[in-house]
Amino acid sequence: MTVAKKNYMHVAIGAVLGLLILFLLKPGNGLEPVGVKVLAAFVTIMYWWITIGTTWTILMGVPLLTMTGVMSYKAVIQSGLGNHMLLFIMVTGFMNVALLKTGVAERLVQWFITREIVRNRPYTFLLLYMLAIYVISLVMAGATVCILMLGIIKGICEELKLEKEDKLSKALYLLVNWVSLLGFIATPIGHSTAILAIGLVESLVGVTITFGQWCALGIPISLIWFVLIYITVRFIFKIDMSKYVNYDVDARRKNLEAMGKLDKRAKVTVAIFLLCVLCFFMPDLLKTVLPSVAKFFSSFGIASVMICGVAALCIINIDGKPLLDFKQAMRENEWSPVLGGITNYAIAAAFGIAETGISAWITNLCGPITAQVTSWVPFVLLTSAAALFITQLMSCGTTETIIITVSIPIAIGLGNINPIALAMVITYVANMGLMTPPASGGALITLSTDYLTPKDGLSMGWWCLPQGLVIALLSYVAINLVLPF
Amino acid sequence: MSKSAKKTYLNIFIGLLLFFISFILLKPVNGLTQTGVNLLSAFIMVVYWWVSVGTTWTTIIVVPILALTGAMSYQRAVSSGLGNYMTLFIIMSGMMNVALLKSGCIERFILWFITRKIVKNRPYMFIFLYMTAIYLVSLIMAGSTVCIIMLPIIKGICEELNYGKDDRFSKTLYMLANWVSLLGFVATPIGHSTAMMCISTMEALLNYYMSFGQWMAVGIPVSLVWFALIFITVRLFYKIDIEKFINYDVEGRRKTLEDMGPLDKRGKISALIFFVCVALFFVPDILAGIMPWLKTFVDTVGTVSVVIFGVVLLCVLHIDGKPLLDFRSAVYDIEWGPLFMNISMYAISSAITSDNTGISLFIQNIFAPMAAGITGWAPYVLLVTFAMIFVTQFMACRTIMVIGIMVAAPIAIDLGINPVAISVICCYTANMGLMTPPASGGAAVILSTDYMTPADGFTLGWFALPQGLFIGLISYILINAVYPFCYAF
Repeated sequence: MTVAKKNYMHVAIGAVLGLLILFLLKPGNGLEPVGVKVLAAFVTIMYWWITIGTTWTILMGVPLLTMTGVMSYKAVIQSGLGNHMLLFIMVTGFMNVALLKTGVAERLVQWFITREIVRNRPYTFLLLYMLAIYVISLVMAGATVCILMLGIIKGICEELKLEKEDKLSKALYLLVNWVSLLGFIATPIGHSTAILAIGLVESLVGVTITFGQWCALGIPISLIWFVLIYITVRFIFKIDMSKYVNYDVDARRKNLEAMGKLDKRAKVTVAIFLLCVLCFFMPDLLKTVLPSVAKFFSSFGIASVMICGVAALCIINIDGKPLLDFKQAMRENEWSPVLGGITNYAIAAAFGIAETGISAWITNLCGPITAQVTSWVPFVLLTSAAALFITQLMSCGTTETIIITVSIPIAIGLGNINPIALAMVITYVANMGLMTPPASGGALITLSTDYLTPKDGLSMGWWCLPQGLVIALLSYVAINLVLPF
Repeated sequence: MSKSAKKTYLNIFIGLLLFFISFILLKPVNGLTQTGVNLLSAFIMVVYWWVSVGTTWTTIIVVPILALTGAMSYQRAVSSGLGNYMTLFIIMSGMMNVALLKSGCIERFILWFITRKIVKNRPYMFIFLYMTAIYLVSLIMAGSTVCIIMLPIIKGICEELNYGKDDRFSKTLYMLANWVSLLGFVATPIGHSTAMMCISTMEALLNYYMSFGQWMAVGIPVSLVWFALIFITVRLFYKIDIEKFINYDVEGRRKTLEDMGPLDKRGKISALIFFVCVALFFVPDILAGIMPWLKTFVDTVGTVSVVIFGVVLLCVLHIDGKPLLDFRSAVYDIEWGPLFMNISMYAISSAITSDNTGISLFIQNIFAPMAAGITGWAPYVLLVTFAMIFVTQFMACRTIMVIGIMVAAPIAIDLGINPVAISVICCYTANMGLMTPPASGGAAVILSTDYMTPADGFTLGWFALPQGLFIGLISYILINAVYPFCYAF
């Protein structure tokens, strides 16, 4: 079947699904007529996202939600596009454009993998290689890291005379995506899906997770997952490391030296970026020492901080040109998360409207289950497994939106589950898209190289599933302790 | 350090200085609150930056500045700026234009006009049809886009007619491409971000919504009057050397059009979808009596949803194995600049009208004594029109329009002058950026060709100033006659 026919079929199926819900699902049990329409629109949009992808489908939230009558089109747009997190995603994209051009990330990776300690120690090399990816992923999106790493990995593979069938070359490619996805867990900086989750929690639960809180939990959890990945590679992958003898640390170090030191433009760009990052944590760092300053940063907002950073980059001229050309940044920015965010936030806002009765309906439906569920474990495991599995087949943002939007009202209904912890856990695991090309931007890049096939994605990547479940349970406990609801 | 860097630093510094001077000199009296003082000082600084540094990072900086003034939280600034429905409308219209442009129907349309038999040996008839073609295309497309499309066509004509770079005829053709295309901003909001911004600024500032149909009901006649003025100017004052026009080969050019072949299926369907969407902007107003359900539907889902449906249809429909519009590439083909201008403009409008600033009351108290002295609307309209059309020759239309409306409309209310008419006139005249490259996107395109110099912009373009004053007066009469109830604000 051609792509066109397939798309037409999915458009029709999505529309039919919506109509079926509209006519078959009866108001009652708390659900209002407008709630039925919202659910029909939701199912249609989600079906399209899953089957067609997040292209034009990300625009449909506005007209469909408007047609349900739950909000006016102006309110839908305001709750979607007007969400402050979208502006943050936009300007963070600009900052990333500037950062990428500095060459700092590439130097950092090269620095890690040319330490003396890696000489004749293949697993130490792998550890430092993973560590380098992890560190840059803390502030950069996974797909960007993968693009950045492609040239470096190819160089290593050629140097080590690795063939396409060698497990080491496959592991190097797979690890780029795997480890870079930990960045989404660790920090919201440069990670649109983490920011999306913060916005969804704000809309659905009414609680704002600060950057400090996210990182305080995310960094330790991502490090645990890092260790799990390393253990898997070290003990389960059974890599033939014999060709590692060809790795020439000195030559590679010479290359790094030949790159020279970071120039003034790069240093200032990095300094501005780090200053912005520091400001993100001010509300948490200073809340006991200098509460008024902490309050100022809190009310100033993360988007404002990033805007000031971007403005500084555009203003400061070094070597005759600004550190960031605003117009060029607009052209190079990744706009899909921004447009996608419109529908994500609008749906979350619609679900949160009491007049739809959706929350009450879900609570009533789950009433009989509530009586029997005495522990949070089965629910967390169920939602995490669903997120982990679904994200292998579709985009992380879509998975995250669907699972969070559906499960949070249920969690609130169940009463004994922390919805904030649940949302964060879902976000953690929903970002681990590793096994198939549509699973994540990084998966698409690494699984379409000469060295790694989609089959490798399945055979080597499936380990992320049990790891994800362990992480989900651990994370829930940790988050519930730090952010009780 | 480069000269431009030094200039930018200096202008940033002057802006900051202006802020501090305003902050010290302005007192929270006459209804103005301390927050209002903060906001007005910041507004002066930002406007100075827009004018002197340009509308790049200076637009988006409004969000943190508003948060610092205390006029509104940054969440509200984003919500009222980025969350304004017009922002999404502009993005979606941009995508629709990308599809239309790629269909090739615009180029065919222009060639059709200038290859009519009637133009044979009739140079002014040729110019008239040439202008008509540009005008019609400009009704749905931004001026700079039209100018870019026209460049190869004009060059081809000049070469065919052996008109050199110093000939008035070639200069006129280039000049007219920009001049006439700017009338599109007057005529319709379709594809014209400044007109859309004007509508939403009126909504935010005056709580008045002007539908697309209402805009066009006034805009099309006014633009046609201006069209006639331009033609008269060219015919009577330009003194063009038309002798070489005998070289114009209508048949040869028509053959080129025929060689292009008829519009293919992709082009036809793209154009059809575009025009159905455009029709849905104003037809429901016209047919409200016959098909009230259509008006109710479009009013409910909004014009923005109509454009979204259009874009989605273009992305879904596959012809010859590919979609009419590739969503991912269209995202990079559209102009994102207006988005950031929108964020700042709507956020500032919302802050200015907010009760906690007291700015509306302050302006009212300041201008109340003057209102007693002004007995007619004409001096004020002339003053505003002149200021707009003069200043817009040196800076971006969008910037000057926003500043103009924000300053002129509240004063108009106090003077008892129709603020909606004043706002719309600000938009009409602010768009007539003709004389210098920074005046408009089209001016930058046209005045940087081999055939035109910035000096030509002045010598041929200054006619826009008296024309603008005339248009300002007749537009006020017309708009005030059609929408007289606006005094209520």
